[in-house]
Amino acid sequence: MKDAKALFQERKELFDNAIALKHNKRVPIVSNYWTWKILDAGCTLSEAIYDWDVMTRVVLEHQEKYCFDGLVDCGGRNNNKLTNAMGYERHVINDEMESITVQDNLPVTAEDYPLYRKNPQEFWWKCWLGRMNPDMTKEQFLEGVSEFFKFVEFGDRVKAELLEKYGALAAFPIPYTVPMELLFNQARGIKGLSLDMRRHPEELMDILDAIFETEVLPAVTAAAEGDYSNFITAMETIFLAHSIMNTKQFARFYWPHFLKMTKIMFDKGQKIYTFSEAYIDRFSDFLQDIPEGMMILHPEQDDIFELRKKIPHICIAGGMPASYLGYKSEEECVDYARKLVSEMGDGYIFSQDKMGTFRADARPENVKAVNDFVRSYEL
Amino acid sequence: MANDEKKEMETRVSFTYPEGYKEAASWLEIFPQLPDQEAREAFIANFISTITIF
Repeated sequence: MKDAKALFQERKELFDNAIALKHNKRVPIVSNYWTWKILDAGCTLSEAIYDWDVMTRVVLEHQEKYCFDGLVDCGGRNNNKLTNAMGYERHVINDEMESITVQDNLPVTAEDYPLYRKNPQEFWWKCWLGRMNPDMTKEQFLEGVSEFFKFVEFGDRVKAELLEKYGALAAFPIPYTVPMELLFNQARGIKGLSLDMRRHPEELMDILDAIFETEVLPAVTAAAEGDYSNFITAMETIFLAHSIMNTKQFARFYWPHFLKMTKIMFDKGQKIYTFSEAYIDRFSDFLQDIPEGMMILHPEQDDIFELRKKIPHICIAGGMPASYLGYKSEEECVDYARKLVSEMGDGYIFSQDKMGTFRADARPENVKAVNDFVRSYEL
Repeated sequence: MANDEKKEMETRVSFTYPEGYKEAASWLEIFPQLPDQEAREAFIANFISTITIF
């Protein structure tokens, strides 16, 4: 058994080659398991989400059991400790149903948009935090900030332990998103944003540009100078909001910021991990603008064999269906994994298609079987 | 916790700007990562923007 340092070197090379579309001796394996791994560890969702020590154990046991080369989620997606401390809740945990429900109760309205251009501090203070809990106490505010620093410390610690004990790489240090994603997922919500694209396009475009200039540009410019040699890539970004947009809307409200944001990273030689929920295929023409060998695209629902034909210049991750991992036999799962690695080959990272969330998304024996197979398959 | 301290912590956050924002920033002096009022005021907006994901 190789030591962690040797494993890290081997894995780093596998990922670098895959992203650069160079020949690899085997296909690297990335975990796209999120809350599934909490349940697989024998914990309830609450036990792990409300205790960073338990979450650390969950993540390390996940790695110990399945020997991934890298992990997309290192346990930091759900910070209910922070939101509960501040007296509000967006992600409601149901331990009996083993589920987390996201409430589309975001507080920003289209009438708030001009305030961001005038004063971003005032916008976030009044239009977001002040509405999420208008009765917040000083104690709640300070407790929330304290939880934030504990969360940052947890993230750094668990990624360092993955590296030191197992030579396993976190997929990226932190995520950045284009302004459209921030409004869609975090500030305005699905319904509100859908309406705004039609009813308030000028105001929407103005706040998107303002957020890009004020927050995204400075943050990504600073991040582009960093050293990310211990990670698979320098940053994550996501495609989520595209799912409610047609190509005309995508061209106007989304793609220009995505291109500018990623170009800042690419110009400094930094690689990016992009997870795409729903389907991204209908926007594959836009993806022709992405330079060759600089990005991993991990699509949730697209047929990756067909997607490969349209974007041969981009490393693709994913493709192993949860419908197999959760419901089919070990043999059927390994047969599908064989199809994936033999046909996708170089420029491919083996992983699950969707984010592994529910217990039924995978049987542990299937996860082990496909990982063992892919690790042994020589390209 | 002493009664005065308890009462102080039950103080409501004022979501006015700039007064409530600056007051909340002053409370952050207990965090050594935020060394002065300027850093604390810059922190709050970034903090809120970041925690919107949770």
